Amino acid sequence: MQGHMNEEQLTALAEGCLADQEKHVVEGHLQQCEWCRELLGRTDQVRLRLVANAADFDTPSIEEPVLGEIARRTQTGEHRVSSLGRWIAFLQEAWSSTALRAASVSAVVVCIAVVVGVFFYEPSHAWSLERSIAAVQGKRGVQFAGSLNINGSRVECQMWVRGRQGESRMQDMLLRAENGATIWVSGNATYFYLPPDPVVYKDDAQTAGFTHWPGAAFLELLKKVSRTAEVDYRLDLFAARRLVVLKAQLIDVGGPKSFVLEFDPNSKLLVSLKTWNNLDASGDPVFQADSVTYLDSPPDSLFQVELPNGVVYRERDLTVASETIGLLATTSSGLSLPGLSEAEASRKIVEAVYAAEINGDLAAFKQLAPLASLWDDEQLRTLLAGSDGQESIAELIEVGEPRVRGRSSLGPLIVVPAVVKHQDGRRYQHKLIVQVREAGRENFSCVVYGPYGVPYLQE
Amino acid sequence: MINPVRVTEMTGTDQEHIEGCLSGRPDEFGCLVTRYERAVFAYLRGRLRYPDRAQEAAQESFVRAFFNLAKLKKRDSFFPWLLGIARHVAREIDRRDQTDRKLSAEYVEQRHHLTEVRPRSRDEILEAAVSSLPPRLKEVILLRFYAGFSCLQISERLNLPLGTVTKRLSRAYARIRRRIEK
Repeated sequence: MQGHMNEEQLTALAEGCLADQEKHVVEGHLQQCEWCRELLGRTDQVRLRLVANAADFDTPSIEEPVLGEIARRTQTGEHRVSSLGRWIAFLQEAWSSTALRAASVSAVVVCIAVVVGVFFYEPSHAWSLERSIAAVQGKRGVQFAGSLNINGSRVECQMWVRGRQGESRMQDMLLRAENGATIWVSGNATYFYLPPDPVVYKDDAQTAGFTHWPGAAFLELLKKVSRTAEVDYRLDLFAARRLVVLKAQLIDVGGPKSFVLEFDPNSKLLVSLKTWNNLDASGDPVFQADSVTYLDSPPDSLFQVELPNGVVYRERDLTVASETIGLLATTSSGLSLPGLSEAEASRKIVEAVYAAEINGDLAAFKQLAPLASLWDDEQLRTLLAGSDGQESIAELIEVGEPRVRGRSSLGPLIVVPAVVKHQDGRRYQHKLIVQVREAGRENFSCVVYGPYGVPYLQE
Repeated sequence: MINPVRVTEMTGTDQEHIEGCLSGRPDEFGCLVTRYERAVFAYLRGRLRYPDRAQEAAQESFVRAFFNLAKLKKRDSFFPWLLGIARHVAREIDRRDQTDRKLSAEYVEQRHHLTEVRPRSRDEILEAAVSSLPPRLKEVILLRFYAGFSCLQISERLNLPLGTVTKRLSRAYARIRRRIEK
């Protein structure tokens, strides 16, 4: 026989699954081939180790406790949640039958309404976002386990987020996907590593994760700025529990977003989260967390990233959400500053937008930053000042050097850094994205697109 | 090779026992528990590390499986479905443990040392390697070694050609070997 046996043939031999003729051939080859004998030996070592490990099991049978627990739950009614699932499954089967459909339509509606009413009518478990806000007070970290949509495929991932001490803003974030993709926020920078590409792409701002870590302030903010926020209930038949479902939609500088957050009405904690880049929660979510765990004080070591040797770092080109181009292009918005360069004009419009914010002139603010018109004045004030008003800007300290960081279909995208003082007295570095329109012409104009990353506290 | 695991009672197919349960004979579920408890426990021990957690999770997995049997469309896929439930239960137990403790590795270790002594003879590296296998490969390893099925029985239980079973076993061995040799 030419060449070597493959591992599958050797496994089949070891498992006694080869027909006599093939077994004879494989055994004959093994007598002559040291390489295959060694491979078989290594496979056998694994099998022996598995056998030894299985033999080491000394666990009593759980048959009796399982049947006992089934009987107990049946008697106490705890299994009703699952029975509801069975009942609905039955109704669905009935519904799929044409003959039954017409006859059962009214009965189905009534039955579901009654069953749902029985299971959900528990006033003692009344839920409100305020209770969840209270439940996460004092927590500083959160761990998500779920999946991410990467180029249309779902990839399992875990994400950890830590809030800044005494603040609602995010300090660190680390996301690890099963395909090796790693995204992390460290300091005022965000890094994207997508193997096998040996490149780490860097944003010099916090552009991933959460603007506010998902603690009390995030929930408070979500409540205030959502275009719609509806509360519903869902039975998690799998986990045999009832969940409170909060659906919210908003449009931010990243484009339209919708959220579905589920809370455990008993612990009041967030237990799952889904986000979509559209307003109707349609299609595959971009991120889905099936498990959410709040942590008191996550250690630094949780956010350390080790990369293979030879990885190089590159700046990531800036882009803007295509849904926002229409608003950015409106002729009634922005500033035209004849005689100035694009960089000089960018600085001017940034100074103007901060002046509007400090003076509370929201009309001027919306004219300079047209995406802000997506919110009503109250929502915009909350977004600018934070849910507790502590993030409102008291003073513009300085405007830094503008840098072209990308392009949209309208023209260059320029990032302008600025240092501002908040009402709480602390200094933050902000970065704003300015969209230059009709670049290269004398009568070009610019608008403020929005923040590049989140405000970063200057120590 | 002699498998020291007790040979699982193979009377009746999974489908027959499931139909029995759904027809009002819940005791038939006991046959399914006996058939798969070691495999589920092995998976959960690799996943949760601690035997008491694994035992608790295995019990809860079977109980939930029972109350959701009507939702199982492919009755011949009971074991993969059961493993899916076990995975969810393990996640919940992980989450529960994390929620009610201070986040520090020392605290976790301390807590588990207080509640139990982990047997030293365990091959934790191997169990972790099995636990990290993709679901299809994990199923055949668990059934072959921990439930005590032969390859032919696995092919019948999972409704797969015998060649597919040996192919999956072969891939699983290779992955486990690579993991162990790291």
